[in-house]
Amino acid sequence: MLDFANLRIDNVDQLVSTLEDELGGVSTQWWNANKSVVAGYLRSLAEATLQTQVALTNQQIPAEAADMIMRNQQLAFNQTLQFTKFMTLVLAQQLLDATFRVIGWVIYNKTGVNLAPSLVQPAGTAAS
Amino acid sequence: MNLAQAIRTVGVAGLALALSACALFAPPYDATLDEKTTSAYESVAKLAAQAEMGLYQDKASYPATVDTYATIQGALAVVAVRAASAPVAGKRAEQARDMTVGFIKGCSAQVSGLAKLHQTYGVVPNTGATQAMMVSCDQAAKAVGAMKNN
Repeated sequence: MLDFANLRIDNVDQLVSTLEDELGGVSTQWWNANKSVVAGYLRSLAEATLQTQVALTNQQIPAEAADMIMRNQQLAFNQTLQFTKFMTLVLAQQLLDATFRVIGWVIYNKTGVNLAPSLVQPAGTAAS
Repeated sequence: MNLAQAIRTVGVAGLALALSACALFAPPYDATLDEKTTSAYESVAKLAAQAEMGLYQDKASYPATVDTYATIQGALAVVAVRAASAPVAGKRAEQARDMTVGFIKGCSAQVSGLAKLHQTYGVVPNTGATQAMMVSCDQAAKAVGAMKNN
């Protein structure tokens, strides 16, 4: 459990590492399955967060502007979580297509019958 | 195997493969949608780059930029409509299609968010103001192109 009251982050790497630990702590299974998709977005969030924090500290922006920026970040990360679900569906479709592309070619090569024209496209033919 | 059995076997196999070729989990790739989304994303990236270079630091620059925001929003609205009409063959593919539309609308909402920040306070460079928009629009572009070369 993080000691939030004494959390002092000085650079992007520290924040990325802390966020990764926290997400992994919530669900190791989810983190392991999605870290390849999420890692880049998490770094972008960390970089932006430190920029906002420094700008706020240096009074380059008012608190209200920082609040708007962080709300946008929250919306974007919520979308990132949706994006991991989307990529799971895309992977399922790719696995389905890969499997039946092989099967379609197996049948086509022995019979000349193309049962999966969108997946099996012999030279000189076009997908339907 | 007699003729009737052969016909039945081929019919069953054909049905199975025809189904496999359908968009059961995700909509098929749409090159036009990909091209239009990428174009909109490039406009968003240019807007973000201009903001990070200080072009919109003064909120007084907002009225002169409204046309840029409107052009981007118009392009995103067009691709959202097209994405929503992608053919699907099941609830999960429908879910993926709806998510794609959601990512495009999320990108649009982030453009609106930046416009509001611009109008109210100006966009100060290096304050983390543009990353959320870039992330959301990047995901929209990736979602639209996810089935390319499949």
